[in-house]
Amino acid sequence: MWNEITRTMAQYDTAVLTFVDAAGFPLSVRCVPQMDGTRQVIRVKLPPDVVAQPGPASLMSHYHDNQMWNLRGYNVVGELEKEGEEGWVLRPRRLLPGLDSGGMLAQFKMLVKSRRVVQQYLDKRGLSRPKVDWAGIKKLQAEARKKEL
Amino acid sequence: MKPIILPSEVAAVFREFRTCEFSTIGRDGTPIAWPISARYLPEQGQFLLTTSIALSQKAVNIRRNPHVALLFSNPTASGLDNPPAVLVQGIAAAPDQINTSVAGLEDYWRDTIFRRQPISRLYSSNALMRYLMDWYYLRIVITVRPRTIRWWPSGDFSQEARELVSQSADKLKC
Repeated sequence: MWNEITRTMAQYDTAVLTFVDAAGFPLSVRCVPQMDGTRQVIRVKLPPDVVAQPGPASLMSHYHDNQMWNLRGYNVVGELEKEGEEGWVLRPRRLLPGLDSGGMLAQFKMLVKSRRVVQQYLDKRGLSRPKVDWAGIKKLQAEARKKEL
Repeated sequence: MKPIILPSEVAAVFREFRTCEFSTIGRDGTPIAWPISARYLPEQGQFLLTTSIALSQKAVNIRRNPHVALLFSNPTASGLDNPPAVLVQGIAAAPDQINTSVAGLEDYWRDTIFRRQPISRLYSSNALMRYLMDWYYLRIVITVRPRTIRWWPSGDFSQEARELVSQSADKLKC
């Protein structure tokens, strides 16, 4: 797992660390993670006024282009641990792949998975497949195109 | 109740950023962020997001624990020069209803999604695509009412943030 995490994270310059703060809210900050291959932990630096606490946390990166396409990303889930007086590390537990819109194969896999998940969602609730408001969608898409011209 | 005025650079981030990192808390207490497009509704003082039921875990998490965060830290395609990074922490709602109509969400679909992600228009382009991609439009609506907003000028996380705190009845205006 560590090698896969290292390979995946190397594609991005920064990552977003998220932990739960003392008030019970998620708190996210962007950081430059440092990989420690010896201990298999990820070193993270927090802003000076952010108070973290040890516990479950995650690191994610994502990319999209100027047209909001070529989507890719990941999430590393683990435990945030104190290191020394000022330092923090994330000890990874799992790597979760994000949406990947790059390439035909990736898109096909996303399509197949999404259709299966949606049918399971509907079956679990005893719902028939709802009808989408295509006329309304196409009207708004036409308006969106006009605004670009 | 006196409305809270947002600094113009923060309002610009809400208006122009294409995505935010949206965090919910899982069953085991782990917070996980995924990128999502969010629309700020200044008159209502809240954010509007949607998610396909193919990606419904965040809605399930919200119903269990409504504490969420939105971090606006990726300025790609925003057109903003040296914007701040902005963290919103708030309380979310995600009613267990599948929304298939654009009614009431016209601005969200037209301006937040279709204008900014032109390729999504392909999903309705012909009968085959509509059959294959209908799942994309089976949506759960999520709203977030902010409690705290922090921002790091120029996206510099090595500095201390500036902060606004909103009481539940206040509206954030810009």
